[in-house]
Amino acid sequence: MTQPQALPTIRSIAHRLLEPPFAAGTLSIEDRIRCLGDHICNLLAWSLQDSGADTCQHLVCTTYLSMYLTGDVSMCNRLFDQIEAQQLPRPQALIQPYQCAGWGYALRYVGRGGCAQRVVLTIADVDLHDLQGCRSHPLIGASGFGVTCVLIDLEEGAELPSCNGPYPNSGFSEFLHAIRSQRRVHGCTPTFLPFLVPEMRTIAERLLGKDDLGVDRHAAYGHCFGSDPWIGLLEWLQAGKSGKEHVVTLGAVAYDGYFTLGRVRVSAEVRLRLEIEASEEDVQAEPSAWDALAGGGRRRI
Amino acid sequence: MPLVRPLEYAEVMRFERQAPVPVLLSPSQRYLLLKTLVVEMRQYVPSISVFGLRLFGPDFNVQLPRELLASDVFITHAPQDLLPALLDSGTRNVVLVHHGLRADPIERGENELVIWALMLSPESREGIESFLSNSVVLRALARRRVRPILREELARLSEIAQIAIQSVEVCGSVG
Repeated sequence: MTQPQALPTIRSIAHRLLEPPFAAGTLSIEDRIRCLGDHICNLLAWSLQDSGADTCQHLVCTTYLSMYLTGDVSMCNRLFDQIEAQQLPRPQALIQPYQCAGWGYALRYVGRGGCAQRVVLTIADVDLHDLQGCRSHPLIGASGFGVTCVLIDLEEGAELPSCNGPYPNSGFSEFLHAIRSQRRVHGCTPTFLPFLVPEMRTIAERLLGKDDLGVDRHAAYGHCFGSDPWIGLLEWLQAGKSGKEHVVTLGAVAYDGYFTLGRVRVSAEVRLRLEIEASEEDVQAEPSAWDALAGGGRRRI
Repeated sequence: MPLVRPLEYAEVMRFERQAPVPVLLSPSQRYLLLKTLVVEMRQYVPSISVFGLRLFGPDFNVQLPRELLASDVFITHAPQDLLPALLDSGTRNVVLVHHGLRADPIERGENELVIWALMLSPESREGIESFLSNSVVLRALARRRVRPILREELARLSEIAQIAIQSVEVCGSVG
């Protein structure tokens, strides 16, 4: 075991499930983006309340958001303007190419100078276009959609997530072996992985053992892109682990073969918010033709 | 992107835009160009502390090269937006790369490439001169322009780049 090192400290985690159809009945793409902005602002305001986060750095990560938003700077600026108009920190970046591992790359970038600072990461993945082909994937299974906000304090010289790639086959094996390597150096900590289909979860459990793995919630949520490990940590804390400081490990894998893996310290005063009501009021879970082809389908909490 | 229902085809047609500018690169060629640019700049200007690089979406199944996943590179939708925080933190020797290199008909852009080298030390300035003289990537580009950026212009980088693009009568091509 090495000497204790400063780790990123988690001050709050908030997740809101936003199942498709997103903003159903809202015709224009601009209105749907405004609706997404409302959700982000709401979670962000909650995350930053009483935290004195006026100078907080804010980055938005996504895997799935439409190119209509990510590929059009003027459209993206509308979203950022909306956030800033609520006296919330204007995002300095919308990050998509790192896919589900984006939050790790964002933290690595923001923390590269080693200075103490406060960071809020928003992970936003909603289906702005109601495309059923994206509800599931042959390898990844059902998709889950929503917005996550994580408030993080970086102490001076804090350890940052490792970011690795590219690897073949989505880098999943390399990801699991990196966790084993990390455990050899730092010891085992509760570890939160992406939500996996049973076949891939079995591989993870065989390589890592079950004891220190967070519960896989794929059957409930589907794969929620970069949000998975944060939802897993949030639920774990809500299940009686909050009120005490913890060191945990979170990791995410990008489909194209990159991954991020990092240790964080969860504050004993961590604030938690999990909203799943949005999924319970709609949803026609009829399988689409693509669902049938992909073997996936919508799940319910 | 598998489309299933008729209304999904209609939805995706919203992406379509009339664009007079041709698609010149595949996604992997675009990554290769940007990778080569970063490698060359690291070679000629080793003191560069951070590259902010524009890419706005994953090209699924086309991997980013290792050189663009490195810790001195950060990929975002609009790298010029990184500048205020970089200035606040006193970061020196910053390179921001904007491009509108189209790799798909639904993508916007004028096939432009804009490189901002900012907050340079004297040593880095010399390196930039070498880069400008020797870069293979730059030699492959048409209608190159080099222009100093004044400190008071830092807040309007995008505007300056747009003026430069609009003043080019014929669109450049990438060889």
